[in-house]
Amino acid sequence: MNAKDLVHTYGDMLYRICLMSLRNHADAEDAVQEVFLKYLTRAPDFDSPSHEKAWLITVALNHCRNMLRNQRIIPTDPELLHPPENPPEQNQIFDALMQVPEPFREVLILHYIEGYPLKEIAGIIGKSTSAAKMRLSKGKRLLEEIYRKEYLS
Amino acid sequence: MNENNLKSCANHVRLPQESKERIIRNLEVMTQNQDETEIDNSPKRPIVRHIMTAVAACMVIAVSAGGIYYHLHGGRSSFSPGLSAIVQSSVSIEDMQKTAPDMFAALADLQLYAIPAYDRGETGICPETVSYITLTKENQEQLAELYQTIDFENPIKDYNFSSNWEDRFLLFFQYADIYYNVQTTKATDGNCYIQLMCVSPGESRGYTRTYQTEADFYDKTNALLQNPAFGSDMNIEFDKILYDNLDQVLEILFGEQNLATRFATAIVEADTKIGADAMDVYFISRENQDSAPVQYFNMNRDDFLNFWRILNQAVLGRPDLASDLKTDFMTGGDVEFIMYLEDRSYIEFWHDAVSGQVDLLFHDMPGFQDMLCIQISEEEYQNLKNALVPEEYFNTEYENMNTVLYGRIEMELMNQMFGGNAPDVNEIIQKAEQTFTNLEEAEYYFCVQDSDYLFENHHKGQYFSIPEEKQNQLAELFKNLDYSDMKKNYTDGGNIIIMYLKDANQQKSFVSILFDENSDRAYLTWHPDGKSVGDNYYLELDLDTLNQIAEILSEPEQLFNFSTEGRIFDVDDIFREIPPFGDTSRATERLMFPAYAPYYLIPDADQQAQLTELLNSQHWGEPLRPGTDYSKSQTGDGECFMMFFRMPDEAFEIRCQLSGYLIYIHDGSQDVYYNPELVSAIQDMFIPAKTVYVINNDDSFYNEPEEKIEIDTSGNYDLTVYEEILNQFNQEHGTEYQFASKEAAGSEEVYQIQVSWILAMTEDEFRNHLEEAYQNDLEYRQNVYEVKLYDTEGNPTGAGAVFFRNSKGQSYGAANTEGLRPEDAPDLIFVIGDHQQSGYLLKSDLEANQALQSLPGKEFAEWKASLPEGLVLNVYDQEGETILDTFSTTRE
Repeated sequence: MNAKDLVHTYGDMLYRICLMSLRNHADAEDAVQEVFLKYLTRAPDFDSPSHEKAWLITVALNHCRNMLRNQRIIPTDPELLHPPENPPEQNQIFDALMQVPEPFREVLILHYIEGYPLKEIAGIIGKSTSAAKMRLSKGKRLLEEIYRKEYLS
Repeated sequence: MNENNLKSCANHVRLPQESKERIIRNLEVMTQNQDETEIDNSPKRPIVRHIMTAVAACMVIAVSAGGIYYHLHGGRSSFSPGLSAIVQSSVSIEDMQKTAPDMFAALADLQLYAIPAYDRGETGICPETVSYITLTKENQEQLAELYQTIDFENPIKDYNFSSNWEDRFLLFFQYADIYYNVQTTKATDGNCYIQLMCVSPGESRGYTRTYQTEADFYDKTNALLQNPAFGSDMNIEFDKILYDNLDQVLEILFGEQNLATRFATAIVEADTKIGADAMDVYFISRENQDSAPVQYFNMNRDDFLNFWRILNQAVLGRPDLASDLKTDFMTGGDVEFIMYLEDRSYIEFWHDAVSGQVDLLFHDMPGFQDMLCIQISEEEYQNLKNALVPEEYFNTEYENMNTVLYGRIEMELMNQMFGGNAPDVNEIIQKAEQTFTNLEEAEYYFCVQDSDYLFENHHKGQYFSIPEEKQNQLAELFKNLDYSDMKKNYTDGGNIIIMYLKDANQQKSFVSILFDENSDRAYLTWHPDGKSVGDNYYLELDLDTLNQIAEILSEPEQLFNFSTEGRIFDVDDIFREIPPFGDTSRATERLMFPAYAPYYLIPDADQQAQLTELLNSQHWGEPLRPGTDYSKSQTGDGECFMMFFRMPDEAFEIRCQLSGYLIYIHDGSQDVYYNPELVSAIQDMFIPAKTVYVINNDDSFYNEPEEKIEIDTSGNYDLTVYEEILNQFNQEHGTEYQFASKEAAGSEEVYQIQVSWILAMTEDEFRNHLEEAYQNDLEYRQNVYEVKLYDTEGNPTGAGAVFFRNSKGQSYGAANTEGLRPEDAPDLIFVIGDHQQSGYLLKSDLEANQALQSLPGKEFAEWKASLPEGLVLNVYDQEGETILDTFSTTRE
């Protein structure tokens, strides 16, 4: 896949994942570019489009983790991250989701937003299905707690 | 919360079209390895963006400061793997000085962008957005003429405007491949300054020079820029974040020129330590990190010294180390391994598979505030890699080293306190095999400790039994576990469920199933003596097994209301009335600690006797029953004091909650009592306890290893526990209190200990043992992190506050470390001079003038006022040579 096809096919999806991981537009764009660069220079042969997609997500998540680990990422004001088309209640959830700690947020995003089943999430995050399930369960609870505290109390 | 809203909350998050186009363009350029000239270089790209790109990319900081703008062009790709060689140019300070006149002569013909005057001081408020303008040719000619009048031969060294200015404007342009930012400033000292900054995009290295000029110059140039007839609005609005951080970004870029020296010094110091056989390191291998687990390991002494020798050659062997070290980091690729030094600094080994470049990144502390980069050759890298000889693997796939270390330390402490007379592990393993392979004949029931993970249908604290069929399934599962790898005393992780057992021989014991969310690992811990306080033996469970257990337990046969029916074991015994407690002064080990306070306490024998008396003198009565006030007692969490007792024939724990509830934990069960008087009396017992272990936990901030310090408070002391730290559930304390963050922020003084010398045991988290020394009481109370350690004679041991040294070996720095004694101050003490110049006073000057009784702490003005009147001292640069300002204490 060339750069153009790559960006048009996976750009939005990867940007979404990176933005929700890094909480900063500029860094997310940067991460997307780096992931695509890795793809173009280092990607293995893929069995299927889904394999390709999972590889991209894995690399993106790893890249974001590295950025968070190795750089001082300053999160953008949450309101600036809101998709303009979102109704207020969705923005509230979006904000709450952003506050969920990273390992759990990843799993929530992959499951609820990108629609991945637990088994595939496990492959992406390099953990067992059980661990993914644990993270999803804990992540959901954390999300609910944050949401309740922020918007319902 | 609506799940559909969760699913669709990010549907509209899309990569902006212009970003897509830019990324496509950049990717095409990068993969074709074209020259930078082929990167989008259209006039629409203002040069300022490129400057900001270089700044933001090189320091990998404050990227939000760069907003989205630094991504709007191909400049970012200059810093991407494989492309760092595209643009290679640099400029030294001297070059910049020499170039300046020609550069300004050419200004009229350059593409120039400007931010007209803006102010950030008291005279106005920073606008939300800033418009950059381009200038007309005529305008630029006039500016060029003005700037050429500046004498660029005589800069003002090290002038730092920081916030001492009221108005300035900025020019951005490119000249001879270098990007310049010229700031013309009206400062609060009444003078005006021109600050010339440059950055070389290929290396992201920049310099700054400051020149003083007349106010008239500022007015003239500013008038030019203010005149709308001269400029055309580019309609480029930079967001306020960028605007506000511009100084910070530049300051970090330009203000860290000492970093190279600092790290060079640090490496030499580390080398010295190794020579003294005092160094220990800890590695993490992240090779192939996209898929492989992280592995932590250390090496034996000889192997490490060999490794260090190679590293030493690769780094220290360089003829000009300081200039090879860079404050930027541009290589992509992966961290292949990380080397942690015992002072918590660390070195990352980055390897970029695309370009083959290997960089070592030196971090001076966790949190990544500062780092320094040095490139080594592939060969050096391979040699280093080959020299790595893992000696001890532990906790593979365990990403949280701090937890590992802390767990090990805590385990050791717990072993010290409770261990020593426990059975041999092998005996326990045999016993475990016997017990767990005959579970069909055992009698047992369960209690859910945490319902979130696996037991969605259970409530926390729910006791239940399971049907026989399930019991047999569970027995089968336990039969197949391998008990040969059991280890002693697990201390981490969250408890999911407890299984109370009475085996075929009527032996009582209990099993906890735990899940550690930090590592995603599950454990089974077994308390073979049925006592929650005492040794446990643990076994790691794979998560599938955990889920199988959960599946088996998901259908309870009968639910119990915690107490009466649930206590199928020795009900009469459970409800025996207490006291009497045994003579707790006989306890061989005793430990008390407030759960949310950062210390442990160990009472001495007399205090133990007093405690026995206290416990037995109270009317305990019957424990509370479910459905009564028990439910308010917050047994699991909240502020409390915990006491552990281990006596030859009895072991138990008492938790005292400040709300007046006591939880008496014994034989694997809990009884709850309400007795505020007793709680209050026990709370008082904490004050005169003998030995205090202090744990400073700022884990929530930087995820650093926790430090633990033992303090021997024998002698006169008064330990005051501030209630604020204990407050999560105490209504009197008002709102929820974030202990960890406040502690980390240093906003709360949580304890005061008044003794003259404190035995301090600093935890060496890498070697996992305590190092003993003494702390001065005053210093301890002020700040445990930065004080010195002393030997028993009160002589400094050399640890503690460390200052950087200049080329002459003199120490210099701000002497504002809390508790720093005047005699321990650096040779050059940081001050602000009479003309707002920052610089250094010679300590010897202060001494000679009898002005070294105190040091400039947080209240600089106050300190200055305390000095003898009429003092006039020189303010020097950090080398102690160039006079920058004066420092006088003449008062009107």
